[in-house]
Amino acid sequence: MSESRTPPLRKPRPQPPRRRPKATARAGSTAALLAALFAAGCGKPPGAEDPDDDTTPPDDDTAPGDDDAAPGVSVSATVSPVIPTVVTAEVSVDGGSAQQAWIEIGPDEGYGRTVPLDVSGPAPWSTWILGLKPSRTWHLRAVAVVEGEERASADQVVETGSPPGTLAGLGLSGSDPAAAHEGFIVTSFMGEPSTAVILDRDAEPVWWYGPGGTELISRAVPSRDGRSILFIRGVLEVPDQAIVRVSFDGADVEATPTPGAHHDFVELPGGTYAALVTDPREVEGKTVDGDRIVEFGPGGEQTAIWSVWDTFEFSEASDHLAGTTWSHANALDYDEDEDAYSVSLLGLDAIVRVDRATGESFRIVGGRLSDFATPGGETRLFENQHQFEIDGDVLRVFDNGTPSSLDSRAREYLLDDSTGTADLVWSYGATPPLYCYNLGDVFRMEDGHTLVNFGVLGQLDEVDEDGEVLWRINLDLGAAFGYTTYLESLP
Amino acid sequence: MRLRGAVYLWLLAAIPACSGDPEDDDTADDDAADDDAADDDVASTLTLSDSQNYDFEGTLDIRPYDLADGSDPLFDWSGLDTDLQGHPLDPVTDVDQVTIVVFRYLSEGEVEEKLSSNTLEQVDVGLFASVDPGDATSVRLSELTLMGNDIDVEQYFVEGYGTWLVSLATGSTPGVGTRMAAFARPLPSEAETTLTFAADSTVLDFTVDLASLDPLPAPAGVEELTVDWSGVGTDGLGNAFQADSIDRVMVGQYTSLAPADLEEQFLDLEILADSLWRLDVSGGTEAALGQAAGDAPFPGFDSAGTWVLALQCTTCANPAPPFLTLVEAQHAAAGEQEGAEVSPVPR
Repeated sequence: MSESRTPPLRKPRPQPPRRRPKATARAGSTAALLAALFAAGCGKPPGAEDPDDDTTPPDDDTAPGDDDAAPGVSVSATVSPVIPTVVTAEVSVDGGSAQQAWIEIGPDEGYGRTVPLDVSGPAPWSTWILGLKPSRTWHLRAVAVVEGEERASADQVVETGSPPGTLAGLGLSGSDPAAAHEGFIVTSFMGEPSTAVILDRDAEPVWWYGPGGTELISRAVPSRDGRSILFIRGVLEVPDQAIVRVSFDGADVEATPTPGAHHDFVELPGGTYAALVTDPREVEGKTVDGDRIVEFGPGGEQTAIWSVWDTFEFSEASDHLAGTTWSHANALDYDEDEDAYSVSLLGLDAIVRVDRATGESFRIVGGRLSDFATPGGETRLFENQHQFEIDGDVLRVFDNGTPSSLDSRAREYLLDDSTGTADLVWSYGATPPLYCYNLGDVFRMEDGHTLVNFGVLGQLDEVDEDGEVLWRINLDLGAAFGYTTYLESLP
Repeated sequence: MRLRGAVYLWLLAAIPACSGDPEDDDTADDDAADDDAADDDVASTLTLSDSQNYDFEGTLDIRPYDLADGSDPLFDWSGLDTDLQGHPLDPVTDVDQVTIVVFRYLSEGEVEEKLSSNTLEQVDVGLFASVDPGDATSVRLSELTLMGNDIDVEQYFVEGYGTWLVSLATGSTPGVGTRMAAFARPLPSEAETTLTFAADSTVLDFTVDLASLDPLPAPAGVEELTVDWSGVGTDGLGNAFQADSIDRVMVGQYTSLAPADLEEQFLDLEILADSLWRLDVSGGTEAALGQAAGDAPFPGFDSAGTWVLALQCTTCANPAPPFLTLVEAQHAAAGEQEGAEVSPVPR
C-alpha cells in the first residue's frame, strides 16, 4: 500500500452530464442486468476528456508543498491478495469533502484511463480498479475537486500479479484482431481446476477466481449490482451445487446452496436466483431425471416454476445421454420485460418459453412440438444445441450438431409468430468444420460481429457478417470454455 | 468435466518430473516468497538465464493398430508388463484409467510431433472418452464415456473420422501417470477387433544435454535462497518460455551420479535423487527454496555430488521441465558477505 498527498492543480473542469456506459448482454434478460452493472459507473469521470480543457495540470507549480494552505489529496492503493489484478484505491482530502473525484491510472504517468469515485458519502472514498492486465506496473493518482479547485495526489505505483500456473494458456489469432471488440469476456475455463475468468480484447486474463478441486464452473456472469462475479459450481452426481458470489476483489465469497442445479442460472432482481435443477420422477417403477426451473430466494426458499414433465412426454426411446437428465436442459435465460424464462432442452432439440407467473410453457422452437418450422416444413431447426439468445423475433443458437453432421454452427433464425415460420438468415461454422460435442454458445454484438464459442474445443471466434474470423482464441490443451458473456466495459 | 484427465495424455508420465504426487508437497506462499526477497537484504537471489537451461529432444513412436471399421474394438493390456519408460507394469493394479483421444485433423505423425513439441491445442482434440477399468485388463471402446456420459463413442470409430489415440494410465489424477499408448486405425478392409498392447506400442526416444549448459552458481550452505526465473526466455524444448506455466520448483541432490549419468537416466531423475525437495508455486516468477518440502529442510547447496534445479509445469502436455539446470555451490571467499547477490557465471 502506498499513500501520497499533493496540493491543488487549477480550477475544476466543467461537468457534462454523466455518461452511462454502453452495455451489451448475452440475451434480453441480461441486458437489464448489465445496465445495472454499468450504472455503478465506469469510463471517464465528468469532464475527464474535455477537448477545450484548459485545466491541464501545470508542470511545475503543482509540486507538493507549493501551497501548504490548500487542502491536499491523498490516495492509498492496494492490490488484492486474492485477485492480484484488482486494485482498491482509497482517497481522502483535507477537510473531508470534495465536489467530485476520480482515479487516473495507466502504464505510465500519462495515465490514460479514469475511474470515477462516488464522493456523496463521507471520506475516505474507495473504488475498485478493474480490467488491469496482469504482471504489469501501473501508475495512478487521485484527482479531486475541492473548494472549487482540481487537485491531484502524487503518482503512485502498483504492480499487478500474474495468473496462477494452473490457469490454461491461450493463443490469439484471427485476420484482424484490431478490428475486434474492445470489451471483456466473462467466461470460465472448464477443466481441473475450473476457473471463472474475465479476458480482455488481447485475450489476457484480467480477473480470475477458482474454488479449486474438481468442481466445475459452467456459467460465470457479473452480478446485477456490479460488484461481484457469480458462478454456478458443482457436478451433477453430487448434490451440493451452489451459486457462488465472489466480490471483484475476492474478499467476499458467499455460496447459496442450489441442490440439484446444473449447467445454467440467472440472477433475478431482489437477490433471487433461478437455476436449472434435476427433477426426478417415477416412471414405471424406475426413477427418471427430468429438468425444472427452480427459484432460490435470498432466504433460502425454493419455488418450482416449471417442469419439463409438464410440457413434454417422456419416452424410453428418448435419445439422451446416460448420466444426464432425459430432457438435458442446458441453458437458461430470463426476459425481465415479459417476466418469462427461456430454456434450452438438448434432449428435445427445443427451446421453450415459460411464463414465470403461471408456469405455463409457450413458444416452443425446434423439436417435435415446435411452433415453428422452416419454409420447407422442417421443425428440427437445430440438434443437440446449447446456449442461445432471443432478441425479439430473432433466435440465435449454438447448434452442436451430431456425429453425422460433424459440423457445429451458430445459427440465426427469424421467427414469425403469425405464420410459424423460422427462416435461417445467418449461420457460421469453422473452417474446417468443428464438431463441438459439448457446450458452446453465440452472442451478437452491437457492431454486428458475433462471438461464437466452441466450448469443449476451447475455441472462441469473433466473426463479421460474412463469417470472416477477425479474432480467435484457442485454449491450450486441457481446458474448455464455459458459457460466455460479453461486456463492453468493466465497472 | 474431467478434460485434463482425458487430454493431457500419456506423455505426462513419460518424464519423471511430473511423476510426483502434488499433494505430497507444501504449497509455497508466493507472498511470503516475495516478502522474503523484498525485505531481506541478505537473502540471495539465483537469477536463472537461458544459458543455464538444458536441452531436451524427444521423439515418440506410437504404433498403429489396424482394426475393423465400425466395430467396437477391445483394448487388451493383459500381457503388458512394461511401460513406455521401460519400467515394470502390473496390468491389473497399475492401469486405473483408459483414455481415448480423437484428433480430427491431425495425422498420426502430426500427433506425435505435436506431443513431442508441446504444441497441441484443445481444439485439436475432436473427441475424448475414458473409463476406469477396475481390475479388468481389457475394455471395449463402448465402455468409455465422456465425463461419465455414455456418448456411444463406438459410433465414431469409422475411417476418416480422425486419428485415434488410446492410452493407459496409472492413478486417477488427471493428466498424470500414463503408462502406454497406441493408435487405433479403423479400416473397412480390416477384420481385427482387438488391440493388444505390447511393450513397444509406444517407444519414447529422447536426448538430454546437460553438458552444454552453464551451471547455476549458488552460495554454499545458504538455505534461504530465492530463485528468479523472470529472465528465462526459452524452455528446454526450444519453445518460448511460459513463466506463468511454472507450478513447481524441484531441487535434487545426487551424491554419486555425475551429469552424464543423469542424462542417461533422465526418466528416473526423481527416483534416483538421494535428496529431493519440491515447492509448488502459483503464478509469479520467484520462489523461496527455504520453503521447499523434502525429507528434511532444504539445507542449501554444497559440493557433494550433483545438484539439479528444475522448474516444472505439471499440467503441460509435455512435462519435460521447461527449465532444468545444474547447480554449482560457490563457497564465499574470505571477507565476502554471505548471501550477497549471485550473478550467473558462465562456465
